[in-house]
Amino acid sequence: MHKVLLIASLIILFDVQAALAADPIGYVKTATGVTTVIRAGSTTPLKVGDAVFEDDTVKTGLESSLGVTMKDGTALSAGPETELLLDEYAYAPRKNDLGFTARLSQGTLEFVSGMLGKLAPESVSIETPTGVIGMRGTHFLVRVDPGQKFPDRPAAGRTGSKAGSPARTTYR
Amino acid sequence: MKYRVVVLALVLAAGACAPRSHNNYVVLLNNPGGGSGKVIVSNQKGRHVLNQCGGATSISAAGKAPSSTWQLGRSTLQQDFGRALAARPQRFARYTIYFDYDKANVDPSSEETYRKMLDEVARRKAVDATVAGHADRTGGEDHNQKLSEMRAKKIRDDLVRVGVPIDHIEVDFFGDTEPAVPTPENMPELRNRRVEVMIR
Repeated sequence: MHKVLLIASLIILFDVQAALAADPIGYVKTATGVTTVIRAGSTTPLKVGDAVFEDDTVKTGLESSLGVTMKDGTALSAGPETELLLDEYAYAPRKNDLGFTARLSQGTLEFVSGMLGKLAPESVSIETPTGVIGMRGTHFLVRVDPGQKFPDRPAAGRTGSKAGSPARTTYR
Repeated sequence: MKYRVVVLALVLAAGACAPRSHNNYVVLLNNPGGGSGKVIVSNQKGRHVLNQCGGATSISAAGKAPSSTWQLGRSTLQQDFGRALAARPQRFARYTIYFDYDKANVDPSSEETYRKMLDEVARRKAVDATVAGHADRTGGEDHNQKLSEMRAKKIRDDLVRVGVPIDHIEVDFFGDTEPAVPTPENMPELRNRRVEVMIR
């Protein structure tokens, strides 16, 4: 009986560890002021050298800033009072699994594309409450005022000839 | 004199109270390597392409098409993005280091590149890296797998020595399965005996 319980708890433990052991998708390179991350519902400070993971929301406070380099070399830098969700990220060129979608709900962001911008630019997009930014190997800035809501997902900027361009692209 | 002070005060007041003409917007800048790419900004109502440095488009509402291109002035750029720009991480760097035949020693032709790479890593803060080892097609598959692993780990160990935390280095190795230059079997080829490094 005890053995069964032990095995059962070990299995749960390993499951939890497997979930925690998700690979980093980038690292914090610069940080000033108040910088935090919302991960699995809780907010913790974010400092230089820390890893970031898929589904993290990174935030900066008043007069604060944050710089992150993703695994493919994409550089993101945020000004004050910025909130950015690292929604989906994949950089596995050998498996042709490539893509990056982030949601900027408010603040200012500088984006300098890395290898994803070269290998699969159409799989990279930054979503804002009022429009979606797609790119072709690019360096740009975007500013979003606070207090705006994202439209419902299916409608998010997917119109015109680029309608439904996939967030993640698998080539073959 | 008095008049001048009044004018100055008026100008300042106007500046402070002026409603912002642009709230949400995107501006294209030059790529680090020169030239600009392009961005495509879209929502339910339309799409707009920016393809010139300094060109901007406003996306003031989800129900309003992105505006036609306008030029972002230097002072607005600094005012709105100064802190974000100052926080930009250093650009990533990529290196290919070549190795001696059947060894995990750096080939003399790569020593300078290798030194430069380690200097660059030492100069940076909070580095993370990816290291991918390869072998040429002399020797068996298993041997080459092992050899490519030893090469990758040699580089990893040197990165650790100049201050990169070991858990910030991703180590991959591919034996002879990913030649840079295709060769017949058992052909020694310097260009395939390599470790590809990405420093971030």
